[in-house]
Amino acid sequence: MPIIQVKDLHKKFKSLEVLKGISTEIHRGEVVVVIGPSGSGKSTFLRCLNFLETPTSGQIFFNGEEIIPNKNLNVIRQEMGMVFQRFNLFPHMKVIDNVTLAPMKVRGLAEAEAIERAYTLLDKVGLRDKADSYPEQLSGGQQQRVAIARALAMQPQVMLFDEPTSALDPEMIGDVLDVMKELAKEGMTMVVVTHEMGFAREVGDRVFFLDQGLLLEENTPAQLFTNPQHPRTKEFLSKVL
Amino acid sequence: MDFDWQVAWNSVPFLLQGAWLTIQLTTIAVFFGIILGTITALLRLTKSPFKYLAIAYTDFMRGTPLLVQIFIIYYGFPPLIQRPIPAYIAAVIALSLNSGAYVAEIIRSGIQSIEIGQTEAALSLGLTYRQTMRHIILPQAFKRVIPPLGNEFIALLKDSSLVSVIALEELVRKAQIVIGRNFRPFETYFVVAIMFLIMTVSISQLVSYLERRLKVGE
Amino acid sequence: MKKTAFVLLVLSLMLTMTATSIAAKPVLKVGTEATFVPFETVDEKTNEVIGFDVDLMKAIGDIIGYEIQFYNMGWDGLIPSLLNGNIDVIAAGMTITEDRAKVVNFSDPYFESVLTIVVRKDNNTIKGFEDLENKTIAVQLNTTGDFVAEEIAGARIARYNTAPEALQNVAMNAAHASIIDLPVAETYLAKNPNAPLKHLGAIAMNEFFGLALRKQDTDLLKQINAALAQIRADGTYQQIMDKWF
Ligand SMILES: Nc1ncnc2c1ncn2[C@@H]1O[C@H](COP(=O)(O)OP(=O)(O)OP(=O)(O)O)[C@@H](O)[C@H]1O
Ligand SMILES: [Mg+2]
Repeated sequence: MPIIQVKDLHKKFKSLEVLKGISTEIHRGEVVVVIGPSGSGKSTFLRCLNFLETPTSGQIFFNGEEIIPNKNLNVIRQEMGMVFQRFNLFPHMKVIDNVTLAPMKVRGLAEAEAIERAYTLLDKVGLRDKADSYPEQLSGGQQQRVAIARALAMQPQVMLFDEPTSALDPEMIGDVLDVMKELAKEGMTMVVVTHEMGFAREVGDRVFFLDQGLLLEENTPAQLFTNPQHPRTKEFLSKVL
Repeated sequence: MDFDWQVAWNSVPFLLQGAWLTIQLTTIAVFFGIILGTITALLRLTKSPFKYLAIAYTDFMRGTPLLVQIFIIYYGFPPLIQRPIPAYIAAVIALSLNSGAYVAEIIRSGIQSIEIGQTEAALSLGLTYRQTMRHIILPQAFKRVIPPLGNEFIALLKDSSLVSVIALEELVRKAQIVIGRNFRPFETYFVVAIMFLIMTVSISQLVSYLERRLKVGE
Repeated sequence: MKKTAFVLLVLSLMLTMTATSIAAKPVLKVGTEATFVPFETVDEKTNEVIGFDVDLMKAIGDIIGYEIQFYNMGWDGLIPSLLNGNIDVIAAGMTITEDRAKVVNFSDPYFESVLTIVVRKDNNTIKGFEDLENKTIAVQLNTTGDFVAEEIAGARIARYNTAPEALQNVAMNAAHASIIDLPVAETYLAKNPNAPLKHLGAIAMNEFFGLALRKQDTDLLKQINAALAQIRADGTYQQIMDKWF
């Protein structure tokens, strides 16, 4: 059974149709990289997966269960971590509190346990010594790694990334990508919207090419990058590679 | 006109009694106003039918003079409940209700000023709407609304003199009583002005202190 | 054609201007606080101040050759306004008291007022000032009733801006009684026949209303006192009394 199944997903903002019928499946342990031109609907697609945008029509299934907002959305969101382009750390809380908040309030973890888990994750992203800092005291790359630790602290089954390195200075991108590669190696299911073609090639199991609200092509990175089928894919790759 | 310092000085103890009532009424009203205003602001941001109750409440309170509200509560309710409302209670109710409406608008805009990304991050972690408000949005919003809340506090302090119409002897009314006996309005109101100034400057100081303290983590 | 019309207009304007400047008498600015029926109140239709004091001042003005202009202001503003020259006379049902007489000159008394106590109809225990000890007394701010109430031991005084508000508070049980001028109480009860209130008749020592003037305006004071005497003698005073009481 796919961990995420998308059936005929449509999304309109007023009269603007951004997603025009997307159907696909994502399997456990898979790393899916979503690429495409600006405005093609990549972010919207990702945000529909955890209903930060409510689909206009179509269905999303998680572990075979259809997501329905007032029924199971909250429980399913706990299983889907999300990392944003602009980090969105909670500025009024220390790093450690950013990471322990959801496990304690949502999962009901005891504080000691949540803190222990948080330190393990901060170790993993290389930021144990920043536990008592506030987000504004960190660089962009550090903030994004904290954001990843914050999402992981819920021990989700899937991680969604929306251009996690786009807002970073070039010298910080590597640190964040390293953390993501490490995650992929551990077998985390990941959906990653990115312009980092190197990452897509190296880590991706499958690449989705989105264009004007349609999933034009999906294939292994090896196939898609060397032998794109669709002329739009070719055109796009010729610009970014 | 010759300024008689002795007259001014003599009025101080009596006026201080009024200043104390002014402080009491305003502080209590701001306290309840913040609670009421927060609830109202949250209701206004929901889609429940209470939203319209909240809108009606803020519109009424902001659209009618405080003086009229004080009258309505003090003279309007006793016939309904068959007993008089003590003036102090009526004043606290009127000032709190009035302040609550203004605070609601302040807090609503404070909540709306928090980036949508904060809500999205919280929801994506599985927090409920309520938890998101409580742990993420409101703490940040409160920080931002401290300066406008300070202004509201100061405005209410000055407006609270309207409660003199129901025979509460706050600072301005005490001054009128003094003037009725010493016939020296200038000296008396001069002292009143100094007392108001001390109170409002203290509030401003408190606000900037709170701002500085909460600055950490912004 | 147009030209003649214009000339006519200018001419008529000049004529009216001269007419008024010839007829114009010096103006006497009289301050009052128009919430004291029947001495002074604002006519709901015309928005002008009317009342016993107004007619009295007009009669005086006719005699001493002044045009009378009334200024309605807060009670507390009256004496200060007189002292700083914004008004020239106070005609506001003001009781002649020693304290006030230190800062202003009073005319000869023009009215003898009597205080009364107003209580609820079902109250049979309050009969005089001595029964008001430790009670809540509603008064109009800075009136004689207010000053008298202050002398009563243990009394809690609730001061309102206007006399009707003070009486309303007795009616709704927020105060035990009100100390107020008898004519005011009578007028209030006449206008509010359903009010659950009664007054206890003349209670206090005699109080006299006087017109207040600046200390230095002694000539004006003499003229006004003479006019008052004349009005009393020629029956005008009685006419005004009959009109308002
Ligand atoms: N909340 C919204 N309201 C209205 N229009 C929106 C909204 N969010 C996105 N859009 C529009 O939908 C289209 C797709 O946006 P989306 O953010 O999904 O594109 P994207 O592929 O992520 O682009 P980029 O690479 O620039 O991030 C764009 O035209 C965008 O302007
Ligand atoms: Mg995007």
